[in-house]
Parts: sequence; C-alpha cells; structure tokens
Amino acid sequence: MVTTADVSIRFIPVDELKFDPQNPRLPGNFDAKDEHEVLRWMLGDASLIELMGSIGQQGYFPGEPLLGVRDHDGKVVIVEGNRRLASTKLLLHPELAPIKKVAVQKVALEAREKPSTLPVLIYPKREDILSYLGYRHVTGIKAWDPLAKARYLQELYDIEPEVNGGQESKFRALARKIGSRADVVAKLLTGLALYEKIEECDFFDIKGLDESHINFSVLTTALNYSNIFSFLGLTSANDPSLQGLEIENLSDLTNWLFAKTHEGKTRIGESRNLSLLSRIVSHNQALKIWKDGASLDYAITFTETPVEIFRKSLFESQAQLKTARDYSHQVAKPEKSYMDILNDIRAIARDVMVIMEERQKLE
Amino acid sequence: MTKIENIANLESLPKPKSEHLWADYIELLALQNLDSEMTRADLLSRVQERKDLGEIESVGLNEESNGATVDDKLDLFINDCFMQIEYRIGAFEDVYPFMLAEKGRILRRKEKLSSLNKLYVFFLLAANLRYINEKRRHDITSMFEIASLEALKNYLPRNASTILFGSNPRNTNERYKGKLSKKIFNLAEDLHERPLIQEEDVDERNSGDAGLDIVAYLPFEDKAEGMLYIFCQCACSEDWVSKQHDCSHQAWENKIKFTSLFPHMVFMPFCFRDATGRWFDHLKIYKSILIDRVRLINLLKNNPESVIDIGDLPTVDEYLSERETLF
Repeated sequence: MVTTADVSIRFIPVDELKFDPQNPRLPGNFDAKDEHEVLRWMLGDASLIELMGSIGQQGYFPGEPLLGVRDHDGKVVIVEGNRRLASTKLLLHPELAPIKKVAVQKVALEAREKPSTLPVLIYPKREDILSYLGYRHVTGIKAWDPLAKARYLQELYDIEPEVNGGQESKFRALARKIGSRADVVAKLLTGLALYEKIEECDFFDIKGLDESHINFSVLTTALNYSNIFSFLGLTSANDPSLQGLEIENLSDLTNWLFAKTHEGKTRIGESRNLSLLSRIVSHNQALKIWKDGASLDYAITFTETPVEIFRKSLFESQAQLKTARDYSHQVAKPEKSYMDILNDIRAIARDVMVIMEERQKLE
Repeated sequence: MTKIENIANLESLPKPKSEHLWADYIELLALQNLDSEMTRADLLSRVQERKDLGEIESVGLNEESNGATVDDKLDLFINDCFMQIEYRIGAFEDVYPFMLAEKGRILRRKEKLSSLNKLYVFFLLAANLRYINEKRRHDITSMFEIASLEALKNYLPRNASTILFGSNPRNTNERYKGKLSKKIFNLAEDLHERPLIQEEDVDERNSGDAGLDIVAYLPFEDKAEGMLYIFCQCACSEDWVSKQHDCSHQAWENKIKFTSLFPHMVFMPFCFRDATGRWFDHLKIYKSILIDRVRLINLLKNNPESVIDIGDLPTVDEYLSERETLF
C-alpha cells in the first residue's frame, strides 16, 4: 500500500510528460506510443476542445494533479489525466492536431493561459494508481444536479467581469470556463432566475410548497417550449433578466407544475405532459377552461390537437389493420380473443362512422 | 449560441426515435462545424449537455431499461444514427456531400461541393425547417416544389405535361395563378374532365391549392375524356402522414368528375429510410407513392442542369458559410 509519504507532487514540463500506452480508453490494435496517433484518437473521441477551452481560460487547477510513474528514459508516463495532458499539449502546440485543426488553432489562439508545466503526483509503480482509477472512471464522481450547476454558474456569472458584447459574450465566457455551450449556460441561469423569483414570492403561498418540493429540471424543461415562455411574458428562454415576466402567469405555472392536489398529484403530472400544456397556453379558450380547473385531457380538446390526433389515429389504425390482414393467412389456429378483438374493432369503426355521418349531415 | 439572424439554429435536439432525422442533425452540425466535421463523441457530449435542460427526456433516452444505463442507450442510439449515415454514403454515392473518416468515427464535409452536393444540402435544409429561420422557410418550400416538379418530369415519359398547381411565387403559368376556383376549372379542362363545382362554391378569396401542388398527365392527341394523370403533394413538414391523402382521388372527386382512379404521390425532402434502405416506417405510408430524398436525388442526378439553380440558392450558400461558435 502506497502512502502519501511515498509520493511527491512535482511541476514537470509538459514536453517531459508522455501518454499512457496502456490507457484503457485507447482501442486494442493501436500504436499508443505514437503521440500523433494518440492525439488523433483523443480529438476524435474525447471532446478535447471543451477541455482545452476551460484550461485555456482559467489555467490548470493545481488541486487536481495528474498521476504518473517515472519511465526508464526519465520522462513521466501519465496514468491518470491523459485528456488533460492532451489538451495542454495542444494548447502549447496546436500544430500537432491531426484533425479538428481549425478549432484547435482557434482555442489555442484565444487562450489566456497555456501552462508549460503541470502538477504530477509521481507514484513508484503503475499498479499503485490502478485501484484509484476504477473509482474515478467506473463509479465516477457524482455530478451536480442541474440546480447545483445553475447556482454555481450564477456565482461565476456574478464575478465574471463585464465584457464587450454584453450578456451573450458573458455566457460564452462562462461556457468556455466549464466546457459547455453558451445557450446551455443561458438556459440554466434563466431557469435559476425563475426559481429564485418563485422563492422571492414565497412560493406564491402554495400550501406545502418549499424548496424541497420544486424540481428544477421541470422548470428548465418548461422553458424548452416557446409557448410556455411566451405565456410567462418572456421573449427568450435564454434571458435571465426575465424581461417582461408576468408574475401572475408565473404564479399560475408554479401552481400547475408543483402544487399538489388532494390526491397528492400535480395538475401536470409527468414532465412529458408539458407539451400538452404548451398547446393549451397558446390557445385562449383552452387556457380559460384549464384555468377553471379542467383536466389536461379535456382542455386539450379545445385546441387544434384533437383533429390532428383523430386524423393520425385513423390513418395509423388503417395501416396497422392492413398489416394484420397481410399476415392473417399465417395464423393457423385463431384464438377466441382474436375474434373478440375483431368484433370490437368493427364496433368501434361503426361508432366512428356514425359520428362522422352525423357531422356530415350537420354540415 | 447561434445568432437570430442566422439561417439555422441547431440548439434543440431532433424528435425521439427518429434516427433518420438524427442523421440529418449530424449532417447539419457537420456543415456548421469550424472544421466541417462531427464526431460521435461530439454528438454524445452535445446530447449529454442538454440533459440538464430536460431535453434528453424529450428524446426518450432518459430511462434505464433492460440493464442498460442511460449512457449505454445513448451510445447505442448514436451508433444507430451513424449506421444511417453509412447507408446514405452508399445510396447517394457522389451526390452525398460528406464522407466518413477516422475509421467511421467522424462525419466530414467534402472540401469542394458540386452543384449536386449542394442540391443534397438543399433537401437537407428543406427536411429540417424547424431549425431554419422562419423568414427563409417559404423560399425553401416553394423551391422544393420546383425541385419535385423537375424530378417528376424525369420520372415520366417526354410527352408528359406537368402543372404547378400550388400557390407558388415561382409559377409562371397564368392559368394556374390566382383564385382556386379558376385553377380547378382550368385543371378539369387540361385533363379533359368535367368540373363538379360552381364558381360560387369556392370562396373567391381562396387562392390556395386544396392540398394539390403538382399535376402530371399524359395527353392523347384527341380531346375525349380519359388519360393517365398523377396528383402530387409536396410536404416539408412531418405532418405529411396525416395529410398524404389531401390530393388523393377521394379528396378530389367532389371537385372534378374523374373518368378513372388515379395514383397520388407525396414528394418529401426527408431521407425516409432505415439503415438498410427500407422505408423508415412503412406503416406511415398508405396508398401513396412516396418520393423521398433518395428517389428525388436519383431522379435528378442524371439531369443536373434542370436543378442547378436550386443547389446554388443563396440560402444554401449562406448556410454553408455559417459556422457555429465553439462555446
């Protein structure tokens, strides 16, 4: 067992650090000693550009040293941290990129930091590091939930200096720091702003509602629907200033998403029902009925959706029945249940036909 | 973040369980990428990133099932999407503007695009209007009707006549411009059939097309009733399934007295195939002859002069010059 006393942390020039030829990420039939090939493989498979952006923006975080062992030529083989090593090598030598050349050049050119040395914990033997690798790459570090990520981003946003290009440039700078995309950052921050607004309004006095009962992901998912953010008075789902927010509508939405009925359910139920809600809020009559307490299924009948469902269901039933007919001669021993189902289908078809004929007469 | 004035905004993910649309999405992303390439890992990280926004849920990949974790399912799904791309390389041959590199891990745009390559890009944009700036959509859909018309001409014998019936700003035939009632009367006349409507039956403000975009017919030299004709619809949106009968015999038999039943075709820019080249979902097709991206390209590639303008549309060139920002 290696103790902390047996290992030492050193800042070693990047050019003296080598990739691990036994890296389990690399494919079997691969010349892992060829640095060019390792970079080619990693650029194609390991989303290095984001990591390069992050290191290039804020430097290498010394709290996360690489783990390595000394090789016979005096250089250090990095057993843990090959992606970070590859990113740093490419920041220093973007011309080494065999693929994604333009992106690598661009990130290297825009980088504020290009660490020429990296902190490495040097272990006596490769085996000493292996058991730790299992925890890191198989079990993995528990990622923050979306709310935690959004709160972290808010902290970063608040300390990020103002830049030319306004809010969008600031989102982009944050995205670069965390290796994400500006629109994802903007949407998480907008979700957080809504969440904090709900908190600020004392959860709209909804009985039993507090922080622990609000699922942040439901809010960000709702923001994916343009009808829903328009209903809130917002012009974009990517604007944490919440310009135009109509508090009353946020109160309504909070109620629908999170308030529990006496049966312990919310009015929306599962998040996939948000697509129905998005149709309802964009339709005046449906919205009125929904606000009056109607169920989702009933309110949706006041939108265009039912006609779409009717047409689609009709064509699909016809096609499915045709398939059943095509295969019917293969059924040697029909079960009684088949006859029951067929009778049922006939009765349903007759009912639909009667309704359609009535409608035609009314026309 | 893509700017609003850009032609495309690729922020949201395609619909669930539709690998052919995801293959399109990969192609669209490759065209916008700084290096004009898209790796499997790039797509995976893009999808995973959107997990926090609840989008991954909407594409139906959020549940663990049969012992497969969400990551396993994503990996498998992305593999299926790349299999679609492998199929396309074979199906479209030289017309396909991409190639697979690095042992199939990267989809890369070809460096120089021919007019036919650009025609493919045009169909790709037409099939993905949800990503296209609203101001550009109408131009694309009306041009798609022209491309469909040219494809149909190549499919039919030389003596076939074609009519652009849809309300298309590029229509130069005065007989088929303006009021719907006038167009129906003229159509009946051209087909040597009898109209069943009176002028007052159709609202005079109606200059629509009643679901009919193109008509092709094979005239005889005499004027007697009865000839071959095909009614066609052009559909760039995914609701083509429920609208595929808008130009069928049944839908039109109350407007014109037809001598005989006729077939109807649906032209669509989608590559509506699975990775083996069969229809992606044959249950969605009923009594329609489907002309999807594969058939369109096959019909047009031997007569590229007729559609060269389409591939060189400003929208296509502008899209090809747009690049998504890195972060």
